[in-house]
Amino acid sequence: MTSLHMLDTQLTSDVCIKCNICTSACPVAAVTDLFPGPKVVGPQAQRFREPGAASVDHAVDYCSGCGACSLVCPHGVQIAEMNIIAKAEMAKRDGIPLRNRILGRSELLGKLGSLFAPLSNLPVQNKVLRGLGERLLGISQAAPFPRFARRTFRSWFERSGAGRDVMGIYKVVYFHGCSTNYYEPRVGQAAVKVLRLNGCKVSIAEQNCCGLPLQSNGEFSAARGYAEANLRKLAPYVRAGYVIVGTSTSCTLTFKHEYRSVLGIQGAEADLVAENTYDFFEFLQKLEAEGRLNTVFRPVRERIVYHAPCQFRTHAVGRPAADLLRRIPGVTLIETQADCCGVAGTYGLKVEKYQIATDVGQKAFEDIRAAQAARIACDSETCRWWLAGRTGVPAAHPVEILAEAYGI
Amino acid sequence: MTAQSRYDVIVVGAGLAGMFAGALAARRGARTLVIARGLGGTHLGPGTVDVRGYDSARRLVNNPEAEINQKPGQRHPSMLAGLPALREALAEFQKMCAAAGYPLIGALDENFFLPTAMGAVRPTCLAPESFAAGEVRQTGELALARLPGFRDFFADLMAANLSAAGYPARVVSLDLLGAPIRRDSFATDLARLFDDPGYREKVAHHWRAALKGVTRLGLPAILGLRETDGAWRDLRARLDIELFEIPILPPSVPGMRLFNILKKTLEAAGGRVTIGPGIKGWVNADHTSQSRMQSARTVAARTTTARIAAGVIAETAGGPRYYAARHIILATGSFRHGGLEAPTKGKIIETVFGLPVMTNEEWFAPLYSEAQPYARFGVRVNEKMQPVNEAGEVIYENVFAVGGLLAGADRNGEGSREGIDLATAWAAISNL
Amino acid sequence: MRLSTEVLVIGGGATGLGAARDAALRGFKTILVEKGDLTHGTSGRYHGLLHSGGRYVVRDPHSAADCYRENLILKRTLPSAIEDTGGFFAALPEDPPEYVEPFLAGCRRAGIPAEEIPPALALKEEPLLNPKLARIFRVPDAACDSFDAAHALAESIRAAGGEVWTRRKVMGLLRSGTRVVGAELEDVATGERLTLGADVVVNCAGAWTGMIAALAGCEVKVTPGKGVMIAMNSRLVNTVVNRLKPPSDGDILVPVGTVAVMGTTEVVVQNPDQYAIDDEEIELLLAEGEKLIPRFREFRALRAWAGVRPLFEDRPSALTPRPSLPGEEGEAAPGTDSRMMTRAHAILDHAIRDGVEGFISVVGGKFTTFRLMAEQAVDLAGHKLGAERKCLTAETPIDPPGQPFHKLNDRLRDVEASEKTEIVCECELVTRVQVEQALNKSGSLVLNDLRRDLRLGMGPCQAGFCAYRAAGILHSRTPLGGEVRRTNSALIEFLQERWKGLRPVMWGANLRQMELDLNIYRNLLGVDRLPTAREPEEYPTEKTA
Repeated sequence: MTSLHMLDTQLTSDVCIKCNICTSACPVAAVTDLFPGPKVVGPQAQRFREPGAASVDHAVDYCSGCGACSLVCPHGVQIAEMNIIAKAEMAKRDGIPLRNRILGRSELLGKLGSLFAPLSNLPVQNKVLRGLGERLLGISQAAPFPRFARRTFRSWFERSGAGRDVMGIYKVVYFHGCSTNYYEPRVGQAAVKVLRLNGCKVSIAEQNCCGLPLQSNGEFSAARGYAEANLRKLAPYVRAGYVIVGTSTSCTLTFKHEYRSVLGIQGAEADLVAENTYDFFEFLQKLEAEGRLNTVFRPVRERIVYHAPCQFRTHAVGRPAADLLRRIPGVTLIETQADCCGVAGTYGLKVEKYQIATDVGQKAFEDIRAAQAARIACDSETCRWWLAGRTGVPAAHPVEILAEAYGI
Repeated sequence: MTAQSRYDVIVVGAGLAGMFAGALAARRGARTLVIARGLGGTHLGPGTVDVRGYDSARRLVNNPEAEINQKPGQRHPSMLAGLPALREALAEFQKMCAAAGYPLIGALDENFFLPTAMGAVRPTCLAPESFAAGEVRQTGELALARLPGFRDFFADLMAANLSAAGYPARVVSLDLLGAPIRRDSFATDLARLFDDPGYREKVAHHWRAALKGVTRLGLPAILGLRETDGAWRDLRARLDIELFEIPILPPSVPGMRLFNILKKTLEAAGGRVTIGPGIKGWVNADHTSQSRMQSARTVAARTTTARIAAGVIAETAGGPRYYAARHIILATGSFRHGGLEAPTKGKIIETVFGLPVMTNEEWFAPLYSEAQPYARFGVRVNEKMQPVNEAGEVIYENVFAVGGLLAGADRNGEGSREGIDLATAWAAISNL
Repeated sequence: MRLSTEVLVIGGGATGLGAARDAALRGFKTILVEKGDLTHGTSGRYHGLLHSGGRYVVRDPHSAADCYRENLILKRTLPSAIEDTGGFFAALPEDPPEYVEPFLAGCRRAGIPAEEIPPALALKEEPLLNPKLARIFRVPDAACDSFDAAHALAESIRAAGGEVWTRRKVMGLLRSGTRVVGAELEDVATGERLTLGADVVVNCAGAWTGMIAALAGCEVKVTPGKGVMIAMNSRLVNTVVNRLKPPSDGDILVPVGTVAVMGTTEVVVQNPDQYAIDDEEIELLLAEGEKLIPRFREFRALRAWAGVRPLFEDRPSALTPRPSLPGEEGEAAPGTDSRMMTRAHAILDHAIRDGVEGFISVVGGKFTTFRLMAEQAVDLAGHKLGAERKCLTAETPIDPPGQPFHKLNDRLRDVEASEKTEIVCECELVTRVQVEQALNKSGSLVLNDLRRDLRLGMGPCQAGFCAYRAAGILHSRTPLGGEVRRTNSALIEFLQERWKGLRPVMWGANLRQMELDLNIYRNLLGVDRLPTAREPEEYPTEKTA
């Protein structure tokens, strides 16, 4: 599934047989006529794109990058990936709006926001400021935004001494990402506790934003900057026998897949990190297969509705979070039948895409309401915030529920 | 190499054979995973169940059961496990579809003759209710809808060919009310429109005048994607005429309906479907399974020559993940979706386990419209669906091959695709 | 019915179109007749290369100079049909280093710019190239779409008052004593016969020149030299890449629109209408391709076809004299290796050769020099008509002023910008409006003609979807719904025609494609069971394989 560099990704258009299976699976093409579908803007248009020339087809901008097309393609065409590259090419020629530059800079926003929290949370709630944000920048005023935490996850980790274990059955670098560090430290706290309960030694290494928001908004050089920094910082850990585990499915997917296939980064460090990164529940599944997972759970008597994020599906490791949550006594787990919640990272926050994202997400919203659950469980933060904001049902990362079941 | 996870049954391939096998296995209580790189032929086919439509001279067959039973000793894939298995497989599939509110009608001893999107006549054994009124031998003129703006349905051409064949047909022009808006319109775009009862109401109201005097109307197979919503039934009631669907170029809406039914059936029974990674077979050096769940029965049943496969290796985003399985069903199809591959001219490989493949010197016929010899290439199996070599020896005891991967059938020429898929999937699961 | 003209041009390839245009621009009443569709012969099956001339500088310097001059003229006058890709001449370490100096000297002599560039720069521009390439020179090669060129030429002929008649086969040449005075034509579609008088007949029938000349009792020996080419599904390079070594088989890779064409071979055949594509030729092209692009075999070979070069070998005294290059001694003597046979063209005056007046044949040559061949032929025709008028084709543009070169992304841009209209051929972005317009203009019932006109069916799916759509549109446009058997035949013949070029390269992703297309046509649509206007064996498959 992973191709070695950008040209390879683009050249997978070679094997497209035009069957339209990808078109049938695209959640965006299903709801809007502005997007002709992945086959059309992907392998079909790719044959006509001139390297170095100005972009002539702009419909590709409506691709949300959800990745469903690449998964359903029986031939190995890396459709979503080539679309992302085409969008970046377009951004290079047409320029990147200020809004996209802001939305891409997750780490910077996080640093500033948490520095000035809780004051920094006021603009998110203030109608006038949100209205201005929509008119001046194009950030939809209706789109839900998370709140900055007063204390970052990293500061908790340092204070708690959680990193001081000497030994463990596994040595784990926990990749927290921007969302956990600046918005939801409780997710990281739960993750670290669960890992330690299961005998892992946890470190948090020096780390940067994974770079995905920059990549999605077309700033490949800046994204590569973050990528190379992360590889430099994390590769030594992998060489020292650590595995990298993350609770943000988009961050872990970026390590596994996008650095090489989309950003085109090659080399031993890129391979090392890609091959030793695990999504959190994928890692627990591995522990269980080795007979090392603690499965003594306290009851959690709750109806929970689980939504598998698009980026998680691209990991292609099944739904280990849903499988494990089901086994907690008292949990009634319902899974949504929806393919995509709609937000697709920063896509649904943009004013011209907000309605499309809403239409895409209708099935997910309906399934969640019909489930009459107390909470939504979802591995991706942007999906969580969007679904909670749009349905009014609170959302948690599955690891938080697991921690409750462990009583920690 | 340690397994990421363990299953009782892993089915490789998410076409009709794979999804049916997965649903059957899950319903029997097996911990089941259907895993595939991409979706299968359901999304490309007509959405019907063909058992045997043509004889060896490519003539229409009235009674598929009689046709395939003609040479009882022959090793046609749909008959490998015998006629009763085929019957049960079809009946079971019909039950699943009926339970989902989308019954498939028909019988093994009588084919439908339905019109194609070129106006040829296409035989099939089981069809959705929404196709049935297209039976060409039914008396009374049929009308076909010309839908300006939709590029994949040519009513004039169809009517001309049907009439020339002795089945009177005419064309009636119907307005889709501004849909589809975009130029690259696909069947799925229209189908989603017809899922909306409000749209159906508007369209029915608008069409009433144009349909005066029409008793049977053929539309492309776009009457709804959500099979349980009864879009066809609703529209038929509103128009108060016989209404039928005709399958068109991919993406196949009726095929997607069948896929969705099987997926829901499978998941409701606790099975999992993972679409995305490429799959390779996992065989340990000593040809045993490392699974600690290996039962005594399996150990005892192991012969001295046959070996055990450990499971499959999924090529996921972050590298290979090993999935252990007690039984592996290969439903990977023929060349189209990569169950078989021809890396260079004249070479053929089975892509998951490298199983021996029955092949021949001659691959291609000079005329495009003839039967192509390579269509019969594939994996040989015994009546339990276990792949065998030329000497008839089983290769891996716990591996089964079903569907298009099998040798011996020119599925397009014979009109036998789905019958083979269902019968062999049934046989494989029954033998676990 | 009796009609007459001053100049009758036989042959609708590049040469014939060029000659008819030239004659019409000089004010001669001109009619061109072609037995099939325009470029149905060699022009429609060539490599797509607009030579800089670099290939010929060592062995055929005259030809090289002609090429370069014509290259510049065509770029000026017909940019819409030309993609200005530039070219490389690149040597592998195993190629003879002693070829480089004569190559450079030859380029200098012919005035062809050849600039050496560092391999690192070439690799940056063309990342798939073999990193072992030792020396690389940039030359002004370009890619030319002969179909676009043919259409532009035909339009220009009509605009200048000439006529272009396709599907009119020459059945006989009319004689009055020792003079050719016209031709007997047959309408291929209806069988209707027609007599056309002409003051001078210019035979530009390419590989069939000999057969036409025979109708006037003249002997012209044209050797059909078959050359096989493979279109690789992806545009592996954006620059024409030539091997820098003595010209041989499989040493040029040309980006032509969305594909890259690898060619070519050279085998003498008997019949320009019937020849096979051998596995050995395919294998040779793949092996040579691998030398230029190490990953070559990983990519999908989409289609193979062959063109027949009309090679001419004749008695030197019968050749019309041509201006020679300074320092040149005489004509190159034809050799035994047909590749050594001069690619130079010749204008044959049958009055001198055979004592037959009013009849000229144009032989040999290549696409790049068609305008020059036409100029020389029409010079002679004018001389025979007693009206020596100046040739205007070098200065008169075919395209409107300010027309840019063709660009790869033209169709993508056009489709994005145009109003809602159905796309019939998605691979090549051909719309329904374009199909209907083409059908209106040509009146043809042959889908293969649409393919030539619009590139319909030439993309990765090889008409998997668009053949069906085109058949539907074809049917709805014929009067009273038309005779449906002709529509069915049109579809099946088109599919058969596509199949011919697929069969030699049927493996890998192409086989997957085949499976999908067969599932559509045989399973879903049942086209093989429809009544046709004629039996499969009688299909005019043009070039049987």
